Amino acid sequence: MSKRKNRWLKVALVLSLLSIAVGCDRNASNGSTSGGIADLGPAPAVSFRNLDGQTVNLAQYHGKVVLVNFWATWCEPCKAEIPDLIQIQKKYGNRNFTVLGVAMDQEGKSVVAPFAAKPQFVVAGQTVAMDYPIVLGTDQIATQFGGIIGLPTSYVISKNGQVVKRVIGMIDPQEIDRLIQQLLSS
Amino acid sequence: MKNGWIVAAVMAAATLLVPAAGAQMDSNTARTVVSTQVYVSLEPVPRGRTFDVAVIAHIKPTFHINAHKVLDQFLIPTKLEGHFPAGFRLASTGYPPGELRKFSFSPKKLAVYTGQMIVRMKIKAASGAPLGPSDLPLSLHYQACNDTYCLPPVTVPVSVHLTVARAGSAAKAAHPEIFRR
Repeated sequence: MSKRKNRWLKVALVLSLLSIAVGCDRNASNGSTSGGIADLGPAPAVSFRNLDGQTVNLAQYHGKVVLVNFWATWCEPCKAEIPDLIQIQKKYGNRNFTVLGVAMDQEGKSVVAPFAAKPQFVVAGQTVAMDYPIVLGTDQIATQFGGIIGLPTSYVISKNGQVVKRVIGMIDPQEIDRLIQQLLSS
Repeated sequence: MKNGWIVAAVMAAATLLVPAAGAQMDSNTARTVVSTQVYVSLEPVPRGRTFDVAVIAHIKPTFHINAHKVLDQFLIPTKLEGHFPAGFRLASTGYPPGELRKFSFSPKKLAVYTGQMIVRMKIKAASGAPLGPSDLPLSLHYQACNDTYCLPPVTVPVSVHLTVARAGSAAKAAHPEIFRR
């Protein structure tokens, strides 16, 4: 009997550990805890090149809430959410917030620059271009963010440089809007 | 070990907590979305004969890759290319038409391949093609997405194994189910 009891205890222990692990991992991916803002660790100290060839350090946005959005011109879901990102930038861009678009096109500036500059996104009835800073991403930068599974992937970074949310796939604009408001008022 | 399996289970649980340090942008996953099988229409291939190669691409469920003819200049088309050694010349490459599908993330339909698709090449073995076994290296270039995210474009190697015989040798028609006229 005690052997059977032992066996069940062992099974229960393993199942508990596994469920804790899965639960923690899901929360980490979603960046949410019940009622609070998650903390996924400090944003990496990365440097990008912008479309003018200048170096842009993520650290220079310290003090601002930043939505880092990894995307590419060949990525349809990435392009589908750009109007939402433009909208968010318009709404909060003058309030210590910015979207930072990290383009992962291998062709780099030659493809990204004309794409970003072209008015092609319908926002509030108007056809506009991307209006937030665009920088060029690399595999090394993706590694510094912990590895990018696919595009789009977005990270929300608080004013004090902590990653508070990661989204794989398109953002939920309303959820992100609420989070940004929360971070700006904190 | 008495409780060795508990230790193993704990370690397995711990790995779920460790952030995936996967490939930078997940090219490794992208390469596993498509698996290929290759067939040659003649066994052996006599010198001077034109033969067919079929590359069957199996695309993982829930994923799609762009068709060869894309509907947007920025989309990356699926492309099969050959890097033929001396003695072999590509005559033509034929792609299936894409399936027009609407996805939740796109207001317009996209031309894509899902499930299984076949690319066919016509290749000529020249009169001086090397006799015996030969490998013709091909590369399949594609970019895959599912309903949520897109994986980076990748190029995967595909190898065609065939045997070249003297001109005029008897050649058996192989894989008629794939190469039926």
